[in-house]
Amino acid sequence: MSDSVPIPLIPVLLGTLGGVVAGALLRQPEINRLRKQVQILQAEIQRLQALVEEQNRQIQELTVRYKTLKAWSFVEKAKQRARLEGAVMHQWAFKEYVELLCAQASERPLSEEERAFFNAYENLLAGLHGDKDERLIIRNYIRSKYRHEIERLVTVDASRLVASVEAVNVA
Amino acid sequence: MLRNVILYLVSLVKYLLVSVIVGLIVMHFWPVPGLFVLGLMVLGSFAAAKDDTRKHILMEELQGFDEQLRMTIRNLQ
Repeated sequence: MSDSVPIPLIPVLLGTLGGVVAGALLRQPEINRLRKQVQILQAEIQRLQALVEEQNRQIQELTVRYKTLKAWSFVEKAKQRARLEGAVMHQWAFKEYVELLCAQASERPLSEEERAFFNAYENLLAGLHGDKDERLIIRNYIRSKYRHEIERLVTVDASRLVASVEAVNVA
Repeated sequence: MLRNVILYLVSLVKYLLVSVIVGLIVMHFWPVPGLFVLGLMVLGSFAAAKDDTRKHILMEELQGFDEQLRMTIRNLQ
């Protein structure tokens, strides 16, 4: 026969519930801010589409410049390739940011890596020029998630991104 | 992958050249310590070239990233 310590269940439950409610209340202003951003994106959806298309155009331009470099100018070619991958990496970072914005507006909790990436990229977009470490957080996260796309220089499908933003219900 | 190897080799040649020149100058005045310096510098060249290549690629990548970021910020304003 074991001695069981009676657990005061009701205070524990009330404490947990209180913590959950307090957490939700504390996060509410942040969720409202993100919802407003998604609403702005939805209202200016054509601008978002135009922006992704402009990114695609610039990446195409860089690709052409890379391909026209002579084979023997290998150092310049390697540099151009790295710059091109950086541009593609940014586009996937932007897409990931928009998707995480929508996810948060729909109250989906983010993982630790997603949160670190989101905060780092948001700081960069806000012009709070992050140091190299902040960009490295973005690089590591995006490279681990979209390595194949970046190495194959695959660009983001603008219409698919626009559709995913439009599908979010923030009313 | 191949482009990284090429960048590494170019960087390695640069470091080896400097190592040999410095090593030979030191050897001219102090033959035995000079040989030691030459050996150390040649060995160090491999690690230095690897680090240099990684840094170069990262810098170029971040430059491409920043150019796109600036364009995105301009378009979002």
